[in-house]
Amino acid sequence: MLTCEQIESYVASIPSLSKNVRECLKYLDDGNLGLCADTASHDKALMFYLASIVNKPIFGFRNDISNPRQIFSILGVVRAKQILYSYYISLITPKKWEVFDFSTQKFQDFQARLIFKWEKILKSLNIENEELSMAVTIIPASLAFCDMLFRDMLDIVLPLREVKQISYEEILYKTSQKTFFDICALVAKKWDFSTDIVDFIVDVGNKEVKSDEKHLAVAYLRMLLLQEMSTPTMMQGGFNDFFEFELDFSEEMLGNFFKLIEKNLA
Amino acid sequence: MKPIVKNKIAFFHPQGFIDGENVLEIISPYEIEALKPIKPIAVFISLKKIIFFNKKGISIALDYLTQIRDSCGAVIGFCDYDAKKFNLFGEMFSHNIFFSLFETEEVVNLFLGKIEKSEKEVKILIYNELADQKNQQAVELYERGYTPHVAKDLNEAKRGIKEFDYCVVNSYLGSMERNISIFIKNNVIVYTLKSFVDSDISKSFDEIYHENLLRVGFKVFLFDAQGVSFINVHGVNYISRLSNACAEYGATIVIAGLDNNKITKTLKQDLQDSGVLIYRDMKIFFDDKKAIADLIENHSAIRKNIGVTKQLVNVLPYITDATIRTVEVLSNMKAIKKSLQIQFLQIGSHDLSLGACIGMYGDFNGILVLIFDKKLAQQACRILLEDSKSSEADLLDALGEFVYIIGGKIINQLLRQNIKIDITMPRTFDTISNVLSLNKDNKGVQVDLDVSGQLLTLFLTK
Repeated sequence: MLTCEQIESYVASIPSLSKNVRECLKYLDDGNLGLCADTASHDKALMFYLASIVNKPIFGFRNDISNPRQIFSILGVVRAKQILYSYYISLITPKKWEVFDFSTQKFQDFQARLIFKWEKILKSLNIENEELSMAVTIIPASLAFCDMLFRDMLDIVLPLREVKQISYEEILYKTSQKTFFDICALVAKKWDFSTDIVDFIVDVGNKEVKSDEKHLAVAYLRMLLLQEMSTPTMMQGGFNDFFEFELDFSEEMLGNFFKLIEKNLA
Repeated sequence: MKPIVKNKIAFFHPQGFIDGENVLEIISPYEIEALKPIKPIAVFISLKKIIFFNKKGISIALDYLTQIRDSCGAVIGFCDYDAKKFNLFGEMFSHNIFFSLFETEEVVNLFLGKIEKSEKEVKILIYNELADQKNQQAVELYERGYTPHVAKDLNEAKRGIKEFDYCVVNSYLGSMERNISIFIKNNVIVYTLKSFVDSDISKSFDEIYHENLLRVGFKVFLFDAQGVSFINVHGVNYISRLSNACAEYGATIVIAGLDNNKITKTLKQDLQDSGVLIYRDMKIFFDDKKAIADLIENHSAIRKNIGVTKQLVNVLPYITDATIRTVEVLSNMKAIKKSLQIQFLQIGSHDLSLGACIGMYGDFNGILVLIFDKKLAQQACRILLEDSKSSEADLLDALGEFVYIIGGKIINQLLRQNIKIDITMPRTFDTISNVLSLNKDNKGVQVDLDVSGQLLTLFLTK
């Protein structure tokens, strides 16, 4: 069905970060939001994307924000980085979704929700780790990877999923020994994400996670993804049984997660 | 959400959360309407991948499940959960549960689905705090031929867990009053009749499904009348009519458990006159191995030598392409057509082969038989098998699913040519002699394929 070679060739076809985005990221690393905004303003598509994300209701700004410097000062370094990566991911999403009933607009909404909710979760866990904040930006790409990888074999995948309860991730894993998180990690590596982020992304798809702090963050990210994939919009898109997670959450974790959802994320 | 229907049991497999907001994406009037024509014997929502559910979500799901139950008498409920979720159901519904709860899909199948081949050897442990539940569960399983061990207390149940193949310790039987249930045992289709059998049998009996079973070559249909209180003239006429229809395919109807208190002498004679065989109970019938073998070997079908038609030849390229494409995609191997002949099914040295067939009906009728080298079957079904340690029964199940996928693809391919067909459930064969016996009298188109040095035989007949 899918071979490692096919996956590698797909990852190779994903473009590297543009010079402009690299420069923006460099300025953000230096903490220079102003220069970053000026550089970003040369890329109209990027500015349009940034404005559309920042003005989404989930971020809760009352007035329409369109000035580049204003956008970057509101976002701050970490969130600006997250949104720059999200922009790049939006460039590799399909123009027309074929496996899922989805659209660019819905994809961007999903990206925004994930970033926003993940930040709240990390805050509630008292985890101040920029790397972990960044890791969530790459995960929505898995939806696009799936659509691109499976579209040519939909004539077999659809009847297969009618006779057997099998998630897209399980199909992928059984045929190539890779999870969507492995593919995300390959792309993250290509885009010069740090080794910590790459490892964390792989861990989300792994059955076993070693380190304690990581384990907690991995578990909460899995719960967040499960919760997201259970929302009516994502279910209508066909994403409900997309990932294949070990559901080994403790009662305490689940309780905390639900409290968090009720308080902040509902 | 589309349920997966296997042996007339429908399973929904949601993941993550079930609440009032998303439950309509799992089950809604749309799913109910789609399920009604299938006349499922049971509809379950699997909670295997659910980490959270609330009462509102479950209650709405139950409203829709109840509609299915009212419409076709299906057993409804939830399955695949742990002890905590099981207790949660008790609390949510104040221990006033009107639906069924089975801890795994396998337990659902124990009570309602396919019978294990050697059910006497299957070790089942039952324990329930409620004595009436414990007894009811034991009786249901006994009726299906199993001999479960009933634990006296929780400690005994806990101690015994490792010694048993199945442990039914967190299950609850809601209303099991289904009109007709169906399962397959030793290549015999068993329909279980309950209470009073009258003209209503025509409403609850799924004739389309029955005819599909005939199409794929099942030869013996057993009506288990153990739970019947009385059968009247309308019930008898209906079964006699089925018996006549079966004769066309060389199939036989058997009734077990119909003693003289349940039927008049005249009506019993009428049944026998229409070719129905009557046995005192199911056990006696299944112990009569020779009789079963004779019935299965029966070649007195009226439909003989139907062979190959022009229509069949016309659709052959689509069927061959669909098969090749499915095999190639699922096995990652190249399939090459070696030969094509119109002939009786001929199989060379297929000692280690497995077979599967599927019936097609609608704008054209036909049967597609596929015979795989065992190794090829394992490679082709890799994605459908749970793990590498799968048994031969698992492989046969997976092969059935594989052929069903090919069937799904054939439907779509033919639809593009304005040929509308539907497919039957698949039938699998663990020996080639069974495949040969099914197709002994019919010519068909045989296509031999080479799949990376292994043989795959495709046989299409009417």
